[in-house]
Amino acid sequence: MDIFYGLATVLTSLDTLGFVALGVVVGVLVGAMPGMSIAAVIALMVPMTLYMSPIAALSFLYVLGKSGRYGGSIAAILFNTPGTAAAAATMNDGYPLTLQGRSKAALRMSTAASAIGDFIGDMLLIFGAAYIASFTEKFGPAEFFAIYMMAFIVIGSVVSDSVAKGLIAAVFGVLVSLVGTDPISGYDRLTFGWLELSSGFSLIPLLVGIFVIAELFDQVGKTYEPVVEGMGDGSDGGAITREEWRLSLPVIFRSSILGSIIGILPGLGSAVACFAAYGEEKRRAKRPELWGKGAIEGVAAPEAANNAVSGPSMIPLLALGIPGSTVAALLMGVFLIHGIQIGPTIFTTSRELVFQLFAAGLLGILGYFVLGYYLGPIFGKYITRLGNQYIYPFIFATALIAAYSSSMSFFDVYVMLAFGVIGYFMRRFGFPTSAFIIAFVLGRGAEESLRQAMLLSNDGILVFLDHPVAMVFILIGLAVLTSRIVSSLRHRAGRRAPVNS
Amino acid sequence: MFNRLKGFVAATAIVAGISASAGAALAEWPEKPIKMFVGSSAGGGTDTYARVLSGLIHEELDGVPMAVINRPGAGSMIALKEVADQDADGYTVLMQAVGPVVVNELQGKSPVDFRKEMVPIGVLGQVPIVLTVPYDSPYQTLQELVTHATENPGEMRWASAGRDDYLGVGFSKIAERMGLDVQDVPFKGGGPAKAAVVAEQVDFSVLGEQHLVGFESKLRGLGVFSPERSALLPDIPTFAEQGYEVANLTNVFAVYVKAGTPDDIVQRLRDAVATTAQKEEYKALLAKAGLTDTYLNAEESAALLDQMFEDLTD
Repeated sequence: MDIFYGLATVLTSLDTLGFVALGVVVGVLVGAMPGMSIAAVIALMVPMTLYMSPIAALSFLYVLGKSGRYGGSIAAILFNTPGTAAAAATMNDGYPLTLQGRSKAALRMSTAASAIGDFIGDMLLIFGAAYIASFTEKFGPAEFFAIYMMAFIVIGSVVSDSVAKGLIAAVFGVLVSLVGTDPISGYDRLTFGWLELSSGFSLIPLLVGIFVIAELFDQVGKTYEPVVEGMGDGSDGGAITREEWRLSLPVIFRSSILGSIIGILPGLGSAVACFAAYGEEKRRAKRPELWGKGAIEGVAAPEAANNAVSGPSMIPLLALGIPGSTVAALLMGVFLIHGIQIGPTIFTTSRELVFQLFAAGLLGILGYFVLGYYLGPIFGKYITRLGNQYIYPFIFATALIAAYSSSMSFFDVYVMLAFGVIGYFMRRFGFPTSAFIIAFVLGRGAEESLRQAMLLSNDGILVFLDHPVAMVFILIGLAVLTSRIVSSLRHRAGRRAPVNS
Repeated sequence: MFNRLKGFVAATAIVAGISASAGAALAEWPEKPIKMFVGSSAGGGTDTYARVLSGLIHEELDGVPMAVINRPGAGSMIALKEVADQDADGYTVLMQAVGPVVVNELQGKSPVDFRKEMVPIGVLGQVPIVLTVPYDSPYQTLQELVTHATENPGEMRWASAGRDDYLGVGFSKIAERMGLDVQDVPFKGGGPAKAAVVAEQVDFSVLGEQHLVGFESKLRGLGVFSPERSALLPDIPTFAEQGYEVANLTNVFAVYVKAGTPDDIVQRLRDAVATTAQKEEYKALLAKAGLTDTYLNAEESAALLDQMFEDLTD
C-alpha cells in the first residue's frame, strides 16, 4: 500500500510535517479572511516554495488549498460574507444560525462536513488516480486536444451566469496564451520584438495580477458590516442534536460524492460544487421550510461538497497533465519548477512523491479538523479585528515580491500590474476571471496538441475519427454546452412568462 | 554646514580613490560576491551544474561566494544578454547550455555574437544523446529503423524537442544528411517528447540519456550520437559503431565570462573551476543528481563549441 508508505515517510519528516501544519494555519486564516481567494494566496506563496524540497513545497500548497476551502465557511457563517467563492452557498443557512446564537454549532458542522467530504474525495484520488493514469498513459495529441476542447466548452459555459461572457473570457485567455514562441515552428509570435515575451507571459505574474491585484482594487471600494457584539463567541455551547446529526450525515455523504465527481471534471471546481450540492439537498430536504432560515444541513451540504473537490481535482492534473482548477494550475507550476514531469508517467517516475503528497493531504484534513472544531470561533473573532487597512498594504507588497521573484524580472512586475487593471475591469463587467486563467493555461496545450495531431497523421482534421476516445470527450463537451443553452433559454422563458400573461 | 559637506565630499573622494587604485592593481579580485547567471529555472541540468559548482568553488576564491541567479526565458537568451550587458570585471559569470547558443545563432535569434563576446572558462558536463524507440517497437536496431525509413519516405514520425531546440534542429540536419524523409512532431522539450515515445504516438525520438534512466521497460536506445558510448548506458552502441558517421550531438554545459575581462581574472576563474572539478565532493554531488562529470579546460571547450557550430552548418 503506497499510501501507508507515504504516511510513514511524511510522519517521520519534520520538514514536511512543519509545512503541513503551516499550510493548515495559513489556509484557515486566509480562507476566513473576507475577499482573499485561496488561489491568490497560493500564487503569492509559489515563489517562496522554490527553495523548499519538492515534497514540502507541494504538501504546503496542497494543504493550504484544502484548509482554505474550509476556512471560507468561518467568514460565511459568522459575518455573512464568503471568505472564498467556494463558501458562498454556506451563507444561506450559516448566517441565520449565527443570528439564532448557534454559531458554534454551525462552525462545528461545517468543520465536520468539510473534513468528511475532503476525506472521501481524497480516497477517490488515492485509489482511483493511478488506475485512471494507467488508462490515459497511451493518450496522444488527438486525445489531449479533445480533452482540452471539452474543458474549454465546459469551463466557458459553466463558470459564469452568462454563457457568452464566460466564452468571451475563455477566448481572451487563449489569445493571451498565443503570445510567445510558436509551439511548432519555434518562431516568435506577437512579441513585438521583446525578448521577455518570447517565452510568453509567465503564469505567476498573470495570476497574481488577475486574482490579487484586481481583488485589492475591488476590495478598496467595499465595506463590511461591523461585527455584532457577542456573536461567534460560542455562547450556544456548540451542541448539535442527535436528530440534526441524523439528518445531516446522509447529506454529507451525498454531497461528498457529488463534489468528488464535479472535482474530476476540469474547470468546475469548488464554487460550482457548493451550489450544486446546496441546490440538490434543498430539493430533497426533509424539512424544506427551514432551509435558508438556519437548517444545519444547509451548512453541511455545501461544505462537504466544496472540500470533496480538492482531491479529485488533482486527478486530471496527475493523470493527464491537465490542470482542472486554478489551484491545480499553480501546483502544476510547482511540479515543473522542481523538474518533475507531470502526466500519466508520474506514477512510474515519481510514485513515492505522489503518495507522500496524498498522505500530507490526509494529515492536512486532520489538522484543520482539529483546529477548526476547537478554535474556529476564536479564529473568526480575531480576524475581524484586523482591519483591511492593515492587511491590504501587506498583501500588495507581497504581490510585488511574488511577481518579481518568480524569475527576478521587473518585466513580470509590469505584467502583473497590467493584468491587475484588466482583471478589475473583467470583474466589474461580469467576465469570469477564472475562465480567463484556465483558458490561458489550457490554450497553449490545446494549440500544441491540435497541431501535433495534424502532423502525426496524413488525414488532416479527420484524424479525430480514428480516435474513439477523442470523439467521446468532444461529445461530452457538446452535451454540456447544449444543456447549458437549453436551461438558460428555459430560465429566460420562465422569467418572461408572468409578464406575458 | 557647508564646510562639513565639503569635508564629507573630500573624504568620500579619498575612499573612492583608494578603492579605485586597489581595483587597478586587481590583486584584490574577488572582493565582492560573484554572480553566476543561469538561463533556466531552478532545477534541471544547467541549474544543477551551477549550484554544485557554486556550493564548492568559494573555497578556491578566498571564501568569496558565487551566487546562482536564475533568469529563465527566451531559451536562455535573456540570461546571456544580461551577462553581455554587464561590466567585464569578472563579477558576472554565465553557466550556459551550449546547444541553445548554437541554435539561436544559426537561426539569427541570438542577441549577442557568442564566440566574439564570451570567453570559455571550462566545460562541466557533456550529456550523450540517444535515438530512442518504444520498447516494443518493430525496429530493434538502428539498421532496421534506417532501412524502414529509407524504403518508406514520409511515413515515419519522430518526436522532436522543438524546431528551436538543439536536438530538434540537430537531428533534422542529421536525417537530411542521411537522406531520411521522416516527419518531425515538435513537443515542448525533452520530457513531453519522451512521453510521446512511451505512449507510442511516434516511431522514435532523440533524447538526452537521463530520460532513459528508470524507463528500461518502456524505452529502448538504438544509438548514441557522440563518438564514445555513454558511461551511464554502456549497452547502447554509438552511431559510428553501427556504420553511420553523424554529427556529434551532445548536450554541453559550460561556464563563460564576458570577453574583455582582465586575463589574470580569467585565469584565476579557470584555475578555480579546474580545481573544484577534481574534488571528490563535487563528483559525488553530480553523481547524486544523475549528471555526468566530464570537465574540459578552456582550449578544449572552445574547440568543442567550434565543432558544434561546424557540425550543424552546411
